[in-house]
Amino acid sequence: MKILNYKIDIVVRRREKISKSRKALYTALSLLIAFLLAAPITYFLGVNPILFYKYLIIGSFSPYSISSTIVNLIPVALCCLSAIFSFRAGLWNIGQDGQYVLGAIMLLWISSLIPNVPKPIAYTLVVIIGGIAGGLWCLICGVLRAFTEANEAVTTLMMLYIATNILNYLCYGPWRSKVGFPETFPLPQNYQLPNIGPITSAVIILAILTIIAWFILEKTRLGLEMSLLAEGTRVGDYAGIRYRRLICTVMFISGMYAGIAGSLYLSYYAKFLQPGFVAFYGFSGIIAAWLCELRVEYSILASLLLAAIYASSYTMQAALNIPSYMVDTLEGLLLTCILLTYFFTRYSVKIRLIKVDRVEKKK
Amino acid sequence: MNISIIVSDILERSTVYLLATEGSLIVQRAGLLNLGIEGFFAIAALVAYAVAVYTGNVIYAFIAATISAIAFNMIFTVLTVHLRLNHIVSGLAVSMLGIGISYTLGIVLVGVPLPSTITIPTISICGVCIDPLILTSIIVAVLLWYMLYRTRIGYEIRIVGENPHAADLLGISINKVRYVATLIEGFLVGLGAAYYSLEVIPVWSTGVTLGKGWLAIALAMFSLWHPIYAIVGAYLIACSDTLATILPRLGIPVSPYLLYTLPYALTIGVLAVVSYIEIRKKKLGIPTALAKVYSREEKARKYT
Repeated sequence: MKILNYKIDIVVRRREKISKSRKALYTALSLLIAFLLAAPITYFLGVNPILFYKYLIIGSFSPYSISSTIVNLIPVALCCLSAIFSFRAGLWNIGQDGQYVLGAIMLLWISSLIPNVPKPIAYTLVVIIGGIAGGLWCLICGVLRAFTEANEAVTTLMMLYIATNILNYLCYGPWRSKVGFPETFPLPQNYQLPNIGPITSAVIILAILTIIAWFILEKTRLGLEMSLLAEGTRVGDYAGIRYRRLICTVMFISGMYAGIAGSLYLSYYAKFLQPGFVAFYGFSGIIAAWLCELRVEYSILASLLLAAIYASSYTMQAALNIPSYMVDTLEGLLLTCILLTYFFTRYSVKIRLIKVDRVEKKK
Repeated sequence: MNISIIVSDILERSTVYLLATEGSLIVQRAGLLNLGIEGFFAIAALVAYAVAVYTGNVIYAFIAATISAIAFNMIFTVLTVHLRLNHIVSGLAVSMLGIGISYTLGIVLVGVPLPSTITIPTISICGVCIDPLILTSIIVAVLLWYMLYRTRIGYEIRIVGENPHAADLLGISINKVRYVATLIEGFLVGLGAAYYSLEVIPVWSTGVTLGKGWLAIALAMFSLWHPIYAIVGAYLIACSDTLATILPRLGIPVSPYLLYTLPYALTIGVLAVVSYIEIRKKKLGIPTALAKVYSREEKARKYT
C-alpha cells in the first residue's frame, strides 16, 4: 500500500513462543476493549454508559445477585465443557442449545411417566436422562460426520433449530397446561434439586462433572487421541486410532455435557418448559471455551464472566430499560475481541513506514 | 381464502430466501462458511426499516441496507481471510454481534409503523402482485449461474473453493476472490433483508429475522451449491412457510412448528447424501475447501 511517497510495509510473522504474563495481559486488554465498545451502544439507547457499567457489576456480583449468577453459571459452564470436548478433537459441535433442549424435554417426559421415585434415585436420573438424551441428539451428527463426512458444524446447527421447534410444538401443543401461556406441566417434586442456603445444590454436580472432564482430557488415552484427531497428522494412523469410533465417542460426550446442562437447569431452576427456555447458553459456552483456550482448569472462571453478563441483564432490564439482547451484543463483542487476541498471541504484526525512494535504492 | 393472495405471499417470501441463499451460495463456493449471515441479515433489516421510517424513501432504505450488510460482512472477511481465524467461530461472533446490536437498538422502532410513502411499485398479473425485487431475484440467480460457469471470475471463485493451493499456484489472488465473493454476498443479503423488513413483515418487532440467515446457509447446501437449483429450494421453503400459516386457518391440525423443522431436516439429509457421494469421488459441486483456513506459509511449514 502506498501513501504519498511512503510505503506501508506490514509483516506478519508466526510467534514461536509467548510468555504467560504477556498472554494474560493481551486477554485482559481484549476483555476491557470489548466492554468499552459496549458504551456507544448504551449511549445510543439514551443510557449513561457509567450507569451501565455500574449495573453490570451490581447485577452480577452484589450479595443479592450472586445467586442469580450461579444459576446462570451451571448451564454456561457445562456447555463450555461440551464445547471444549468437541473443539479439542477438532470437531465443531455448535448446537449445544439443541442438546440442552433435548435433555430437558426427555427429562420432563420420563419424569412424568414415573413421578414417584425416591429422591436420590430421581437426582441421579436427572443427570443420566439429560446426558443420554443430549448425547444421542449430538451422536446423530457424529455418525453423519464419521460415515458420510457431512460437516458437523452445519448439521449440529440444523439440529439446534429442529430441537427448538420441537420445544415450541410441545409448549403450544400436546404438553400445554395453562390457558394463555405456552407453558408445560411442571417437573414432579421429587426431581427438583434443592437449594443449599442461597445456592443451588447443582453446583456440586457441576464440580464433579468438571473434574471428570479434566480427568478424561488430561489423563486418559481418549484425551490424547482427541488431540491427535485435531492435529490431523499421520501420527494418529500409526497409533492405530479408529477414527470413526473416536468421532462418535467425542460427539456423544460433547452432547452429553450439553444435555446435562438442560436437564439440570430444568430441575433446579426452570421447573417447567416454555419457548423461552432456550436462553442460548450454548453460544455463551462456546465463547467461554474460546476465552479459556480450551483448558478445563480455567473453564469455570471464563463461564463465570459470561454468567455474570446473563445475570446482570435482568437488573439492567429492570433498572435501565436495556433490552435483554444487550447480552448478545456483549457476547459478540467479547468473542470478536477474544478472536483478535487469539491472532495477536500467535502472530506478531509489525507495521513500518518506508520512504519509497529508499526502497528503490535498495533494488 | 384467495388463491392470488397466497401466491403473492409465496412469491414475496421466496424472494427473501432466494436473495439470501444466492449470497450464501457464492461465498460457500469461494470456500468460506459464513455463519455470520444471520447477524448482518438482522443488521440490514433494521437499517432498512430505520432509514425507511426516518427518511420515507424506499431507494435510500435499500441502499443503506446493502451498504450496512457489506460493511458488517467485512468483519467476517477480515477475521477469516487476513487473520486466518476459524470460520465457524468468526461466523458465530459476527452473527451474535449482529443479532445483539440489531435488536438492542431496534427496540426504539418496535411498533413504529412504516410511513405510507414506503411502497414498492408492483405490476398486477391476474391479481398476483409482482414487484421488481421478485424479478430481480430470479435474474440474479441466472446471472450468478452465468458468472460461476461462464466467466473468469466465476471460474476463479470455484477453484478457490475447491483447491486454494492450486489456485495460488495459478496466480489467482485468493484474498481478492474471497473479497469479491463476500461483497456479492453482502449486497444480495442486504437486498433480501431490506425487502423482508419493508415488504414481508408488517412492523418491526424484536426477533423477526431470527433463523432466516441460517436457513439461507441450509438452502445453499440443499440446492447443491447451484444458483439455478436454489430457485427451487427457495420456493419450496416459501411454500412450506405459507402452508404453516394457512393450515391452521383451514382447520387442519398440523402444528406449524413441525413444518418449520422440515427445511432443517431435509438439509441434514441432503448434506449427508451429498457428502457421502463426494467421498466416493463423484463431483456434485460441494466446495472441498469449505470452512478451511487458507494460509500459504503454513502449508509450506507442514511439508518442510
